[in-house]
Amino acid sequence: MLAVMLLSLALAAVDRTAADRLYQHRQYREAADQYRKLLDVNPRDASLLVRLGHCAQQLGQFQDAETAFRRALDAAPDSLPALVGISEALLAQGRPEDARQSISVGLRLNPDDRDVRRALAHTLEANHQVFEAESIFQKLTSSDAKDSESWFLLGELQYRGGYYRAAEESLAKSLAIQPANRRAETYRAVCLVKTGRIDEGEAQSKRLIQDPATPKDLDLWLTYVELLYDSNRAAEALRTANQVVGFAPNHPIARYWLAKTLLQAGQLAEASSEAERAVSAAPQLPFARVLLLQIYRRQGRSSDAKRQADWLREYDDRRARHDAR
Amino acid sequence: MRILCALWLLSDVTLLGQIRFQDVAQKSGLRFELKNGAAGEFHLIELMPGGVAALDFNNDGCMDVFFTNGAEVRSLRKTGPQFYNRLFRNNCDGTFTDVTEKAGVTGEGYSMAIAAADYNNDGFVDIFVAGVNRNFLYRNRGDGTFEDVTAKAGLTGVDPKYGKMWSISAGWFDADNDGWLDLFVSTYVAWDPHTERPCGPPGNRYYCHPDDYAGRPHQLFRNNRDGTFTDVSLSSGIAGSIGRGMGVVFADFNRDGLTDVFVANDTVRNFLFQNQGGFKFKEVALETGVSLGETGRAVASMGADFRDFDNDGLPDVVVTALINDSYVLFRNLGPPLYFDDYTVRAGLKQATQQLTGWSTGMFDFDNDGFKDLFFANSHFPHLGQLLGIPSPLPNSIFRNLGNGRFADVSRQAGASFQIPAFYHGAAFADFDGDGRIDVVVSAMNSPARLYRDVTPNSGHWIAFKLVGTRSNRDGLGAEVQVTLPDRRTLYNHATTSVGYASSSEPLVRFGLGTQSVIKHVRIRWPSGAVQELVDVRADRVVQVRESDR
Repeated sequence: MLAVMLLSLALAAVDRTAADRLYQHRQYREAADQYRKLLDVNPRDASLLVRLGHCAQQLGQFQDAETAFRRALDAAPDSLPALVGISEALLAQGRPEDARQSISVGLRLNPDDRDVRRALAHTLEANHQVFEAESIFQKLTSSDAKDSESWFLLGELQYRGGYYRAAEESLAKSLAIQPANRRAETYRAVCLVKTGRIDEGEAQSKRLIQDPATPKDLDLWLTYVELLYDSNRAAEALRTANQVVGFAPNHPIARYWLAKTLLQAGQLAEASSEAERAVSAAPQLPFARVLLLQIYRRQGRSSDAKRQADWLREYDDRRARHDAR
Repeated sequence: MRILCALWLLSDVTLLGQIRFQDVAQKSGLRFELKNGAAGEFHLIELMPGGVAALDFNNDGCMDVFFTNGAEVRSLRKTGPQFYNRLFRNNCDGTFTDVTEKAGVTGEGYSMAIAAADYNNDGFVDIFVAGVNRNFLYRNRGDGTFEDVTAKAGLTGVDPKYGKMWSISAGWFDADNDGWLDLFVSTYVAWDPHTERPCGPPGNRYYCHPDDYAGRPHQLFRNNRDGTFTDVSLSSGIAGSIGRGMGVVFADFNRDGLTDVFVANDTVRNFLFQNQGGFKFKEVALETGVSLGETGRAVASMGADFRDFDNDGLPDVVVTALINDSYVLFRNLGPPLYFDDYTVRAGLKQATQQLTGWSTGMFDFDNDGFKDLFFANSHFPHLGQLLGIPSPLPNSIFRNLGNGRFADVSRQAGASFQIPAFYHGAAFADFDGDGRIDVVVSAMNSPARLYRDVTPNSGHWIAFKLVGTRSNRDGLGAEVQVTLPDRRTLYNHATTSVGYASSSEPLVRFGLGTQSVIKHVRIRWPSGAVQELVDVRADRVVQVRESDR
């Protein structure tokens, strides 16, 4: 009997290693299947439940992730990884206030835990407390200059805020420690372009775009389109915009840029159709309407132009009058 | 004709010298530091001051300088001389003398902007100072002193609904062409030092975003021709558009003989108030393509200038903005399209994307016949920590290449031009009478600069000092067209409203390249009168009095 139990434990260890390997190779679905099988044997293994939660999170199944992390917490009430996971899953579901409450429990348990502090920074950022979030990342990086993840998260936060020069520096530091981070490379390429290091940024962007191993990052591709557009390379900009629409056909900003590049290439009618598609995809957003207005004006379609102008005026007036935070 | 133009371009644009400036502020006695009163509490007003003016208050033919100044922030009072507004008399010998106290223009409250013009047509330039809590109208007595006539004139700026609003820029123009200048005042946001909530974490406070404050309407005051003004903001339609106003500039964009108003707005769309006559205005920025940049987002517009950069007779608009937005150049194509975002094609997008700009001016600094672009730059204080770069910036000069493109020639513009600071206001005038346009720039908590234009091999030039008789005395709004012997035609118009919160010389100035004679000059006065001159010698200021006919 003991021998059978030992054998089953040994097999479980082997299976867990295999599952972890799948996770590391980003085969999240397969890894999750393995963890579920292991959980059938031991349903209250908190570390397995946390791993399952991470798989679900990576697969975009945020409610499933939250459930797994909560089960882990139920099994191990002091589990910081479970609390961090719950917080991240709640953030992904657009519940920043709930996330903050969850991570505050983790803070009480261990205020110095670096994962907990990183998660706290995330919740602060999601709650529009960007300065506070940045302050945490700054402290994490200054207390451990080799903390590549915190450098990356600091860079990501600065990147999202449009502080491209600072972001580029943080991301470069992260990459110097941990070069295998495509997201950091991608953000950094965008930062280089945005901060006027055009040649370097173009070379990096091109390399990442042409590398099939790089996940197709819309920001990177659209920044590249913009770079081509801004340097009056109309044909290349149009070709790249078409590629973006190829992998993000329903994304309004991709459609918008295709319309812009068509306009730059002098294809007014096609630009008009694309801009209309962009507006259909995101009727509540003003940017595509501005382009459409511009195109209608060029086409002499005054009543269509007026309709867009009226919408934009109403939108902007509403913002100016009532939207003071 | 095309060949002729090309030859002209070659001869002038390529052969003239590099634009160069030399800061002579300290040497000339123009010693001024703009004090924003910041005391670590991060009140929004601290970010915004700094209007400066070039004006000839004593009619000696030499341009004087007026600086607006801040105040102690909590009380909004000028608690000491460090906060006084300052008037410097140009001694016509390369030096300036501070005559503030004698002139009686020290001011009160937290001042922001200046608009200088002769509102009462007595031949002496008057001063309007716009501010957070106090506005001033100073009537020039003609003896070197000014009289505060604000209350009598009805220009305290107190709105019946909102009370005293934060006036941030102002400009004089003749809205109804009756020969008397009216006043446009640009309003920023609803702001109260006592209720302003802090932004940022404790111990790491920062200025709040403009979105945290409600917008307020702009104001238009009609000149009653008797020293008083009537607030026509509502009846004119101006108050119907709520923005977050910054710079205000004037030009007749649709060539109907009525002066229109462009207002740069911070983080909401810009306004173009089309003058429909009879003191009625219609906001048409969206319809005419000048409201938003090519990105489709409302940018943080700051200062503006409204002049013809491509010599097609139609005034274009340049607008400064915040980092990541890039400055915007709108080219006026005339009806029916009007404005087209020309920033990318002009080569300005990538070149200005990392800058934050305040005042600006479209002037021909090398007198080659094409107006160049000057930008007063600085990021917000402390933002540099987030940006990863220092907040103070050097200013920028972009040379108009004559082919629709501009080249950043700032780095070659001289050693003193490279000094970074928190530059805000800028006014443009030929302070030393050498025919080259100089720039005076205010800087927050650091010395102001007087950039003397020392461009070598500068081209020929001419400046018209207009004296209106039926039109307003300064001739503001008058359009001047000069035709050169090679048949090239250049355009400019009279305005003192340039840039951000600032006021420039009223002269209408042209660079002429290699041409030393103007074949034909045509002046269209605001009254509608058209006056013509022929075979005018260059390299001088020509005074033109509006003919009675």
